[in-house]
Amino acid sequence: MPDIFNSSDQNQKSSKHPKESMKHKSEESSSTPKRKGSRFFTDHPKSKSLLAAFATNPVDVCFNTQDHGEQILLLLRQHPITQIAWIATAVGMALVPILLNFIGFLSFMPANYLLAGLVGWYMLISGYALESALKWFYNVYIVTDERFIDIDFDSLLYKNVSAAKIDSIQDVTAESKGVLAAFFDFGHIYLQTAAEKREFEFLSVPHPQRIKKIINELILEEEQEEIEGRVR
Amino acid sequence: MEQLPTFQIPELELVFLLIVKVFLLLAAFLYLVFAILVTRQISLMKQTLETPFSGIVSILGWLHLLAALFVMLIFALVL
Repeated sequence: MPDIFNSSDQNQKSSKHPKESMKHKSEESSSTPKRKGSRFFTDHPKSKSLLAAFATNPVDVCFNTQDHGEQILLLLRQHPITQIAWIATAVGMALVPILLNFIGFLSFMPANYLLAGLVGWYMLISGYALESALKWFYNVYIVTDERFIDIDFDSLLYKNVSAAKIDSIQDVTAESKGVLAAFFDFGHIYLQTAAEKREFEFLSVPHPQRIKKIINELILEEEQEEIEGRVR
Repeated sequence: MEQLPTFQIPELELVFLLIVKVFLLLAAFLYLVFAILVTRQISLMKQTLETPFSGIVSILGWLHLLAALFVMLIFALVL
C-alpha cells in the first residue's frame, strides 16, 4: 500500500482550498471504479440519512485527508440513546424558570430584569444544547476501504483526528455492557493496532457485533489483496 | 403564606440592581465570545468532515451567533 503523501497528484490537490479539494475527492471517489476486493459496496445499501449513527456507504460524505478513490464504507456516531443525558438536562433547565415563577422566588425583581434573566437563561440552554449536539455530530468514526479514522470533537477547544491503516489492525474487540446497551444494541469497538501504538476506540456505536464482522471482513480482504498483489 | 424578602432601603436596592446589571452584561459578552467560538469551530469541522447536513449546522451556528448578539443588545438597552 503506497504512502498517500508520496503521490505527486495528491500534493497538487493539497494546494487547493480544502472544501474544493474535498468536493473533488468526493466526486472522484464516487466515479472511481470500485476495487475488486471490496464486496462491501454491493453487500450493503447506500445511506442517505443526514443524522445516522450507523451509515453504510454514506452518500456525499468526505473528509479532508481522504485519499484518491478511497471509499467511505461506514460512518459511525454514538448511539442516539447515549445523548439522552444532555437532552434531559436541557429540558430540566428549561423548566427551572417556570418552577421559580410558580413559587414566586424572584417576584421582588423588576420586570425588565426578570425578562433579561429569562432570555439569558434560555440562551444558555440553547448554547449548551448546541454544543452537545455538535459534539455528537462531529465525533465520528469512519471506516474506509483503506483506513480507520477517528475524529474527536470533545469540546470547542479540542479536536483530534487519528487514523490507522486496515492492515495495521491486529485485534478487534466488541464490547456491550449494561441493560441499555443490550436493549438498544450499542457498545464499544476496540481496535488493537501494531505494537507501541495506542488502541482505537469506537465508543457507544450501534450494532457493535455487526461492525466487528465488517471490520474482520475488511481485514481479510486486505490480506487477500496483499497476497494477490492488488494493494494500492 | 410566608412573606418573601423585599428591599426596604432604596440605595441598597439600587446597588443590588447595578450588580445584577453588570453581571448580566458581562455574562452576555462572554456568551457572545462563546457563540463566536462555536461558529469558528463549526467552520473548522466543516473543513474536516463534509456531510449533507454540514450546511444546516453552519446556519444553526450563525443563527446562534446572531441571537447572542441580539441578546447582548437587548441587555444593554433594557437594563
